[in-house]
Amino acid sequence: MTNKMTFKGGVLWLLLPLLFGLVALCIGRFTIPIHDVITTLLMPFGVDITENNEMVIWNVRLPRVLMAILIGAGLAVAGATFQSVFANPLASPDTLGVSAGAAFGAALAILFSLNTLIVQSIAIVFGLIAIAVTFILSRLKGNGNMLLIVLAGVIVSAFFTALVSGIKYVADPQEKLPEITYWLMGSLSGSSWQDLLVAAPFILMGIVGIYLLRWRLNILMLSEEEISSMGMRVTHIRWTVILLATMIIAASVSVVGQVGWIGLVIPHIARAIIGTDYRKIIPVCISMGAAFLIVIDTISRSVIAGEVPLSILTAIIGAPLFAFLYFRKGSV
Amino acid sequence: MKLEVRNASFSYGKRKVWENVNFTVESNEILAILGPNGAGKTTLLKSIMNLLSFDTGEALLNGRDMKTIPHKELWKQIAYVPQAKQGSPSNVRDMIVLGRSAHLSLFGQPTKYCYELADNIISELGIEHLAHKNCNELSGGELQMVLIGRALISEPKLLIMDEPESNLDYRNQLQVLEMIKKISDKTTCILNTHYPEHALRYAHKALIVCRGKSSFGRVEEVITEENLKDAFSIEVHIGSKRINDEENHYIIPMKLT
Repeated sequence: MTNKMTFKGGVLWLLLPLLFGLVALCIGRFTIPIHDVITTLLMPFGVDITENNEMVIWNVRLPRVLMAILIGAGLAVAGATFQSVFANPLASPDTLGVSAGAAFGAALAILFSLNTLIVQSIAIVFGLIAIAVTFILSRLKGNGNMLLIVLAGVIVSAFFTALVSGIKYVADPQEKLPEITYWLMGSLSGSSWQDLLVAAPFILMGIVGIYLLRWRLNILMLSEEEISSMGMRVTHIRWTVILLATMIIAASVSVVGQVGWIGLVIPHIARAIIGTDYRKIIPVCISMGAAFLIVIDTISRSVIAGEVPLSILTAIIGAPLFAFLYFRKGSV
Repeated sequence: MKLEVRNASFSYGKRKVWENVNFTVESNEILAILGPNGAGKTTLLKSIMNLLSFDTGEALLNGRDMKTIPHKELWKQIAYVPQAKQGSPSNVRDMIVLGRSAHLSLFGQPTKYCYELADNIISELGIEHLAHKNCNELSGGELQMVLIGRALISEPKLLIMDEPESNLDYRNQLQVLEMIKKISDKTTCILNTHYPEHALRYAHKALIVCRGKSSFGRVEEVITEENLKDAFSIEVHIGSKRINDEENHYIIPMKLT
């Protein structure tokens, strides 16, 4: 018994987002029966379908659902990673200031109409700057105290949020301002295959890298001397996983804006269900993060005629859920 | 495995912590390091393990300068038991298996063999009843045993322990010390301790660090009334009593000097 995830368990967790995704493909301006959705998806294998469904599913709904899977899984994995590296259950892309840093980088690049690859690269650079500052600030007093890390994150987050406001202030109110404002609140609307192609490389690299290192995340929660005594170079391994997580966050912020709460709430739910071993937490986060964002995005595009920004929904659902999990008796 | 430290000195900024530290410890030996609070005992252990750097001097592992041994290689041969503080929420078996890390590739996962090793160590340490508990539910003594197990699973040839019997009750102290004695059959052991009696009873060699100076030798030669008075500024009486054909030493602290 090696306490690994069983094959059966793995398959079930894999099926969860796929099932949610399939249902999400049925829902929209007009409902498509699940049977038609499946035949449409099988179209490349020579199944006959109606042209209308093909258009809606292949060009509109499918890329959007895939984007939700990618971003949801990515943000949850990044959050779980930060919680390990900072040995702090309150760490997340939002609380550490990484999202805000990446958002500033991306907003800056959008202001100057740079191409998407550069937007992502600048977002990564500022995400890393933000987390480096949080890390250093929290170390100035004492050694990685839990509250100090969160406090440092609040400071860094506030600083970069102010810079983002500065960019909004100088942005051209006819063209750039609405674009930046709407993008910042987070939305998957208009996700195209093109967008997927742009976001996927960094996010997938980050998820795969962290997935491969998942057992090591258990060690990263220990003290510096202990990490070192496990034969790992503390600085190397820490910054490797921080870089991987920041790549995920920066890429997703650049493409769909700031989507809060997922990185905090999903790892907590995963821990409540599966325990404290990162060998299981990471795959469960991938599955649940993806499923969660599919649900949120489906609500976002179907409750009103327009679109509800994702951050509003993730906060409305995520905040009370987190409060329940965190203050529940006996939780970590 | 033989560890030799030559001419070592260390300072934090301008403050010299200790200098000219020399000692050798060989296979099957236990070295006890003693000294008052703040004398730099933990600093010494950390410098030996390359977690801090000596200002001058060197540590040789079987004659090889430890600085030249690649990090991962080094940690396949040596292991460290930190002071047991608060346990993390992970399961005892999983915690012990973490100690196998230096033997696995970066993307590797512990194998069935690692868990077999862990189960052997758990029964060797006599902590089967803890195997499925969480580390944050353990008492200080139990956690100390788990941390020793985590160090042993890497099959080290040199085991370094920072005050392994501190913060433990009477019985747990004895249990941990007896375990260390057993381990020393196969492994060279170095430990920091606040208890000269423990050194006298279990260690073969002793090193006293105090006010930047150090004295090293066989334990009976180093733990003397005179040296303890010098290091701790107290007068002690060291006596011995034969019980069951075995010479047992005791130390009575008399008064402050």
